[in-house]
Amino acid sequence: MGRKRDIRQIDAIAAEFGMDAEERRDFGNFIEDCKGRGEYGSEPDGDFTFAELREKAREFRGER
Amino acid sequence: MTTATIPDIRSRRDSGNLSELQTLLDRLIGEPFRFLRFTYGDELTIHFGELEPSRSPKLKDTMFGAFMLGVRASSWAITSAAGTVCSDGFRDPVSGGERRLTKEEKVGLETNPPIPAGCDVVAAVLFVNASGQHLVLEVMLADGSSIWITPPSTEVDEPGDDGLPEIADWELFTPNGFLSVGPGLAWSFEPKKTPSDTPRPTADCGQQSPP
Repeated sequence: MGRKRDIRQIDAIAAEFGMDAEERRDFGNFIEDCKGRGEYGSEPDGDFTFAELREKAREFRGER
Repeated sequence: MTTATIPDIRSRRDSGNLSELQTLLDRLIGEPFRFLRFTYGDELTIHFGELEPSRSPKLKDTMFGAFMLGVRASSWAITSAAGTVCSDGFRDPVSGGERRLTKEEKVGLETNPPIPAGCDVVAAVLFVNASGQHLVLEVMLADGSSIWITPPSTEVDEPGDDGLPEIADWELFTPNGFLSVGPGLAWSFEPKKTPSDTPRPTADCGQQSPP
């Protein structure tokens, strides 16, 4: 997946969850931290699908 | 590490709205470089100023510079005494093609950045690229290093991109608010809200027409 699409997906999820710019920034760092801990998504390069990012947003918000 | 071509610059723009944007960027002057961090999507973030914790309990051990420059999907290059390092978007001198930095190269940049920690920003200079369609930023540091951020040329969406939002070309978080630049020549600055603030609209500074 291209860099730009990765970032646009994060922004789309952030908008869906009503995040402001700072929270969106933090969410992107959280997702990268997840990958650093070995939690990969199911995209071929280990990135997260849109549905997986939505679940991660809930986790980030402490909703699950 | 690759050899960068310094972006094709036509002129430094000096019109009303971009002068205001330049004034906002001037707030970086005197702030010390702290560190580099790659975030999701291989986005390079460059941190300056005092270090602050995240608001999020999920990132309680993660610090951010009070000023944080995010390159989004733009190309970037850092020139320093150690040489030049850059993102994809520049030609690899070996393969002739474009490539991403490897994971090892990114870790190397984070742990041993080409700019010394504590080195102050001496200028943050705005340019319009040769096509007149994008705003290029050069951040100059006291040791002679420079950080270039060059927005991508206009791209056609890939299959599956339908409905995804446009993203800024680059952005700057500051203690006073959030600056978002691009796509194109548009930019906006959203002042940081305080608990006593009533909601107020984003200051949208509009679209400049290419000359």
